[in-house]
Amino acid sequence: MAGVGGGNDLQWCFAQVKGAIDEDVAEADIISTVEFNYSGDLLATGDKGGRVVIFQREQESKNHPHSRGEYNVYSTFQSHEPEFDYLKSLEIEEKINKIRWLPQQNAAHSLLSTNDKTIKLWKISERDKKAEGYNLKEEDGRLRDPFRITSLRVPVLQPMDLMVEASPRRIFANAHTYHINSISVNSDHETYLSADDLRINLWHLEITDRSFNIVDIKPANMEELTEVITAAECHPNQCNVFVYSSSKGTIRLCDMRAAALCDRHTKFFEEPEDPSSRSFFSEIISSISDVKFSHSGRYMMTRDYLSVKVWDLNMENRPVETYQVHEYLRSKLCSLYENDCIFDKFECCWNGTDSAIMTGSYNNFFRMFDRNTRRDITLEASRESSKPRGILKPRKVCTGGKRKKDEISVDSLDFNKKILHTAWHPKENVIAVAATNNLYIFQDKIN
Amino acid sequence: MELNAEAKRIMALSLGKLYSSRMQRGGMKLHRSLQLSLVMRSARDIYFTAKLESDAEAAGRQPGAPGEDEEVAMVTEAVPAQPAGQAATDPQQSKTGTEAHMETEPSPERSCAPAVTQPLTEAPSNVPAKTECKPKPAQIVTPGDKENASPGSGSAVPALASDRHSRKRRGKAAAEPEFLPSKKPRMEQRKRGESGLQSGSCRGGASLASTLFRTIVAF
Repeated sequence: MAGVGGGNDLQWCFAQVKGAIDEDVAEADIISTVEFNYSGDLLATGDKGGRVVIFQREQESKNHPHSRGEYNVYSTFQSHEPEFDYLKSLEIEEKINKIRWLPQQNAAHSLLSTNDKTIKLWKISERDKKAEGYNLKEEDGRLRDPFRITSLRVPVLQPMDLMVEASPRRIFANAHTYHINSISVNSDHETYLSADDLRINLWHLEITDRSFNIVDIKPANMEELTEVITAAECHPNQCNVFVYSSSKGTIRLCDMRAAALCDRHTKFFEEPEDPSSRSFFSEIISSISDVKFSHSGRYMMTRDYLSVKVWDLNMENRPVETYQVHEYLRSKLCSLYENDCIFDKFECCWNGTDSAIMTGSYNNFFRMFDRNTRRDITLEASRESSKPRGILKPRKVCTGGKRKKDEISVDSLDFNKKILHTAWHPKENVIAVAATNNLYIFQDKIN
Repeated sequence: MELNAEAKRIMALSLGKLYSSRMQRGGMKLHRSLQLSLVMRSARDIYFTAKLESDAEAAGRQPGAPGEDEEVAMVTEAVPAQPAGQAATDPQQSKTGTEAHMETEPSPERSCAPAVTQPLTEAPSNVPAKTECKPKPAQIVTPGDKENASPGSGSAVPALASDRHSRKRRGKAAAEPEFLPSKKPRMEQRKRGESGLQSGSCRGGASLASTLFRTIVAF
């Protein structure tokens, strides 16, 4: 079978699924972002209800030295609450738009999580000891009567059950008029950027009361607005470089050394439009929903509605690779416009070695493309195909004519089951796929 | 013509989405509003292209086709003016054309249907026309037509139309049947006519359209 992601023998199999099985999905439980940390030991998800759930991988057990550890819940906390902007009479959703991990600097873990308006830095720390034998208070916290204290003792640290605490250490608020779509931690580990529809701000992780505005595409007259910023990311190793994508399908690379305000790009990436494929919806489907640098920093990948493109940073006039995700939808754009699916923002991700890329589709399908062999595979995240260590069977969509056995026709696809968020472990072939309110973890079969 | 009907349908659909996005939690999303307006503009371009062809033929047959102008009125202004040379290459001109009036587009369907089908059957139904043709609404719609044109009755957004009327004339019941030409729209558009419009006739619809557009960008 197709071996995508490194090696011809690679097969993907089911590892775990997290989340309720109910048919009735509460909107608050819908997963809105998924992110592995730098080591891959922690996996964070954010949902529409403003909660963050962090899973931690178990240490590999001695009994099964070849099987990877499972991901179990490590910490759950409410990151954002719904708020109300009284000035504009607008409700601010608590949905977590993005989570980005910070590099680990001590025993605690830190991450940034953001909703439409506010970014928060959370510190997740473990406590497995507590001090006992205080002089002035009892074990339950009540103050001791000072007259009863007749001796002095030194409190002693005693082990206790592991407790994982999350605390908001920084709150970066009031810097965005429009809805935040991206955050990205810089390689200097000191700064990060946040992007909304029209502006990008640069923050210092320690400073919450001000940020630098580095991109501003708001026109003087809003009636002249033609494009918005859809995603932004810092370069993985050049701390002065970042890119942002637009709703017109273009990407701009900016160098912060050139000017304080990076309104003039250093590089401009755009593929000329194919005039024969114009339709009512050409402009909408060319809007880029996600941009990700490769780990090497040499390439970047963009996702628009129907395809994924890999760009070489040294070549601006066209992408070096284009992969069709679900080209069979091109003739259905009108229906997809009617049911609002055409506005779905799919994300994409690289594997650890940049040899493969992955993105989601409908019907709980997700697609992987091997850049070296040019092979692609469609897999499904479903309870039916979730037998422990069960190998995932490749899926195929029948685009017309006779439907073969095991193929699914375009009209039978469930457009309510969409995979917008996926993540790939930074070092191993382990992937996390968010299907509405469920998180699936798949891994390669160890041959 | 199917393309025209499709364009109208898409414009109606887009308007509906635009209005419902105002009710969403989290407020109107700028990106979504922009995308909706782009679709409306594409639909409008196609509509105008087809109309250009059909009107060229209809002009020979009857003096102006009254009902058809109305549909485009609201959507054209609902689109951000594009300096980068889209259909609004001459914003002034396109505004003039959109003045035709009115409410929103399903409105004149019944009045316009008979007028539309005849000329349009002869019009070639090529899609590619839309990419090369920059519609010039000003040529299609003459002031004379607007005078005679009847504001349609049904509308995709009746609430807004009545809001508009009620803002200007508080407490007055909307008693007049809307299909009769009245002095009211002319007075209204004279007020708004100060924003540099060339022909000042019946343009109630444009005010709705600009309100609609301001809804998109207002934050």
